[in-house]
Amino acid sequence: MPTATYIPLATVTVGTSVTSVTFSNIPGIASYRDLVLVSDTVASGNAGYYIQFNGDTGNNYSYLYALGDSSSVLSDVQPNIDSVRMGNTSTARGTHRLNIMDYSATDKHKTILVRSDISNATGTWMFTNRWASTAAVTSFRIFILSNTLSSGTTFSLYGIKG
Amino acid sequence: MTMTLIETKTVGTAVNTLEFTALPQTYTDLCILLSVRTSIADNIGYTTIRVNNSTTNWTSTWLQGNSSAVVSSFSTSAPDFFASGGNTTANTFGNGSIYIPNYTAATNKSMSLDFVSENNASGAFSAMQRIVSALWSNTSAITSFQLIADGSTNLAVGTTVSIYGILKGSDGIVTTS
Repeated sequence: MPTATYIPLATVTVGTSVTSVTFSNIPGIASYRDLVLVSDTVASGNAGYYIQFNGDTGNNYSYLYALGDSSSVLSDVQPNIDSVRMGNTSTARGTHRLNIMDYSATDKHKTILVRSDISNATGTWMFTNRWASTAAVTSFRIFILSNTLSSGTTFSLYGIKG
Repeated sequence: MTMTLIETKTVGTAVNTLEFTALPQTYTDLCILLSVRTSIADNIGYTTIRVNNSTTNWTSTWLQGNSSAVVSSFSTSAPDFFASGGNTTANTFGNGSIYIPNYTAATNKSMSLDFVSENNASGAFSAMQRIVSALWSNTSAITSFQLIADGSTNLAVGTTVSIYGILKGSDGIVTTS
């Protein structure tokens, strides 16, 4: 009998507009290797879309991205910032997928790979983020800098067995 | 197991279209993995994807590398999928994945696509890669999926498409607020 490797941990459907969603009590070492978060997102407007881990609001994050916004291509790096970037939101529905690698390791900074896809000028993004911490991820907060996440936005969190 | 193979189809005789119908409505998301080659006399095997065989209400934005330059553009047609064409190195196939969250929901369907063509060659358009944001602005549940070779070309023997269903849920430990 094959071992299940893609385990659902939690799911959220936004009922009333919110500015943030927090996942807590994430299982630790020996539970899963990676976490996968899938967000089917719609918002009241275009805004930056971010994550912070374990309540860390310090400048302990960095990201590198490439972006195609339908008319131009961009790439940039942002060191020493206060959150992980997961693209932008829009009034058009979009898909955001995160892989949080080795999330429970206590000897590694955390790498977070992100695909952010909205089929308008918000565009398609790919990010490599780093959280400069060797702490195991036990919680994370997803938030939008302005506007709100609209009713019908969903989040699904999965654990991937190693 | 929450990521479950729904169906795999492999082309045994060259055909223009691979179609999956009567997709189960019991999962949360769909993940589609593709290995594709076409008969076109070109490096790029041009194909199109559809859901519910729809040719309308599509938008897509992409970021593309064509072996020489990086570009981004926008389309209101059903999304392209660039496979390996008939002029590429023998036995090479383009590969890709498509992720569709909430495919049964009564909302517009956003989706994320990645694909590359393969070719042991150099120069512009010898091979291509693309990441794509697509939106099908239709609130109907997705019940079918089509991969269609452009024009009168065919999907080559060995082309394989697998569709997986992913089920959301809770482990009773992780909490949300």
